[in-house]
Amino acid sequence: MRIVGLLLLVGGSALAQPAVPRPAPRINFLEDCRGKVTIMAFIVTSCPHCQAFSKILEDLSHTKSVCAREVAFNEDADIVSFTRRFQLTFPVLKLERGLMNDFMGVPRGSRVGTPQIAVIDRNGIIQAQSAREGSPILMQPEILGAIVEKLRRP
Amino acid sequence: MIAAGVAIPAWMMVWFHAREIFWLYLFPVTAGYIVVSMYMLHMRILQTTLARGGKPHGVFITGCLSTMANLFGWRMMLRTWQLIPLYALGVGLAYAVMSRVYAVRLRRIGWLRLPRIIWRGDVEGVAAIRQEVSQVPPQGL
Repeated sequence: MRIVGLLLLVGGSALAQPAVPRPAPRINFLEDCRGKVTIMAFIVTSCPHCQAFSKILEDLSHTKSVCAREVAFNEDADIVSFTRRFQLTFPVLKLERGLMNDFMGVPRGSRVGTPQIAVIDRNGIIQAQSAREGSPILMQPEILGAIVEKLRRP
Repeated sequence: MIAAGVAIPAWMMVWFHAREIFWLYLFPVTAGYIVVSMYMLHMRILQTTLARGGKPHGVFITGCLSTMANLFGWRMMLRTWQLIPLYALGVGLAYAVMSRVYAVRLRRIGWLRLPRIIWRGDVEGVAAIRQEVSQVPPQGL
């Protein structure tokens, strides 16, 4: 009985978020990035990890020519001052939290670790994305750079 | 979650997990260990200075450093509660080790002065220190 319970728990947590690769949900914000390797990050502007990742994304947008996009989903987000403070040249948008849940395949109302990152290939397929509790591995510039390099190859 | 088709070089994964293990597990233990070791060292230097009437430079320096290490450790632990048990493990380990230390003396090798630990089990070392201390006349505080 315990083993069955454990299997249900493990299986349930695995099923709580869709696996990759999977098609990225279509949103207008990503229309400009069609046919390009894209990194989409859902952030909370006051979160230090998100702020650090924004700088990494800014660098990657120049060095690896990725299409970078960020969405702030905290209610008090001031994206103008955030963009200015971290000198970001890519678009940052403020949207409601539900969009992040739908895009990342996380059930609405559940807690998430930020930033939530999705790496989308040139065909619009999500090839890597953060786990619900966040994935530090996707915040490493060298690893993210290696993923982008792989996806850029025809 | 990374798709199986996107193969990342193995050395990158190994390097990432090595850093993760260090910062998540080894660093809190080390921080806790260093904090207690420094406080214990400070107390011993303080006692020696009081007993021998030496200059207070060592007391001042170790006092500052141990307090700095303590606050640094606290600041690191405040990030997340999951690190607290590991920090406590380092603290406990340091108390256990330091309870076996009888004294720390400085050994001169040329111009270099290196610390030498005298353990409680070192009968000759302990006897030599006791004899040395008994020859020093007591000084008023």
